[in-house]
Amino acid sequence: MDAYNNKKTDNEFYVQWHFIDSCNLRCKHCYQNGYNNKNIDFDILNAIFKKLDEAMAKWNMKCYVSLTGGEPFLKPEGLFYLIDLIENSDNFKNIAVLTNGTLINDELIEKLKTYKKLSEIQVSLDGHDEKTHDAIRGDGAFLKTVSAVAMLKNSGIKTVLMFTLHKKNAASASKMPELAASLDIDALTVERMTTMNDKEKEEFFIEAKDLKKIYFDVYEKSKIEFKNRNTKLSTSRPLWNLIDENAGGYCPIGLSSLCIMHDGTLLPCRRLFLPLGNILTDGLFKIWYNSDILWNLRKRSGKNECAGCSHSDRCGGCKAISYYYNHDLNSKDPQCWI
Amino acid sequence: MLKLSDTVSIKQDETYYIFFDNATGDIYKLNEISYKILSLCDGRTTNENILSTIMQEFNVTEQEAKKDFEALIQKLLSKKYIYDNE
Repeated sequence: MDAYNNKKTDNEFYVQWHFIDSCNLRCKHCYQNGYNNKNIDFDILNAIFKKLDEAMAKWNMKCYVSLTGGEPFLKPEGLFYLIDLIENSDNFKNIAVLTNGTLINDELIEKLKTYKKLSEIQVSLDGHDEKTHDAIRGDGAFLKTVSAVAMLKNSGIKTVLMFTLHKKNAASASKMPELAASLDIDALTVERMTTMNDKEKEEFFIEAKDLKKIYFDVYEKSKIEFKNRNTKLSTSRPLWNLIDENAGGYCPIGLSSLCIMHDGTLLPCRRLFLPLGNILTDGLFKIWYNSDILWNLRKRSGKNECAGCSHSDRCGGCKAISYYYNHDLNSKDPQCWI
Repeated sequence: MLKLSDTVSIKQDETYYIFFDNATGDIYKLNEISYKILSLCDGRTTNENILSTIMQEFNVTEQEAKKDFEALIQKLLSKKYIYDNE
């Protein structure tokens, strides 16, 4: 019986922490149901942070944490409380903030700039124009968000755009690189919406053959628009490897990432609503070591339908989309076109 | 009869046999025989039955089985990872 640790010191663990569930928008594709406008419980935030900090130290890993909500800037006191804790821990490497951008102002930006570990602000933009974006996120959202992006860029903070792709904004996808270039942002991510039930599938799901064309168009358009610029297309997620053999990545859920909800509930991923337990009552070690859901996600062979695919090292599909479409975490991604 | 403590667990994945301390986060690699022994530390199986199972499944002598069993159990008892429920 030998002590076992296969983690190298440069290994990264990714955490997406939804520290509040209140939000100022009601986006049509949002996977959130409750929006309780609760006050921040600093004791809960601190207790969750300590559990994470302890686990990173034990595993000899560095945590990259994305702080989000709801809308994180709706409760800046909670956001900055967490950023302060993370900034002062050696077990945390970087911080990102995921936001809709509508509440960002100069005062917040000045405070954000003081943190060394803040690596980027990710702003959601779901259309290349006001009509498309506001139809999803509500009137006036586009102008506020674009204004926030400009302010962030002017401040020197790395700013990336997240475009959540679905049937309602599919026509906008290939126009996003042009907008991203005009805003001089650092990176554009195009990521598929996870449709979680039949109603959402009917309304939002893009068939594989259509997705192939959209990804191809976005990729080719980005090459043109981002030429001689610092803007990049983020292609580290599943299916991008089918467009470019040097792109794409195997989804880290179950292996080196987790999602934490505001009350301490742990999920494999925010888009895969399969509660694993609660970090506050169960502890992180017990959940990470024993969850049957996580062990099922860790399978790379056997019943994993992607096991024999030549792209499996840098793809493997989206487990959440597979789960909600096929009721099987290890089935083929229904939007895979090969 | 021997039983694993509530704060520990064992797991066989695609590659390894693993022992977890869920309280401290410590992880230990097990060999197949150790894993089998610990999977039988369920509070219902007698030590004699554990030894007998090991001898049959791994084709080892009683002396060899006892040696592996006692070395593992002493280590785990000292760390309070298992206890005798009698």
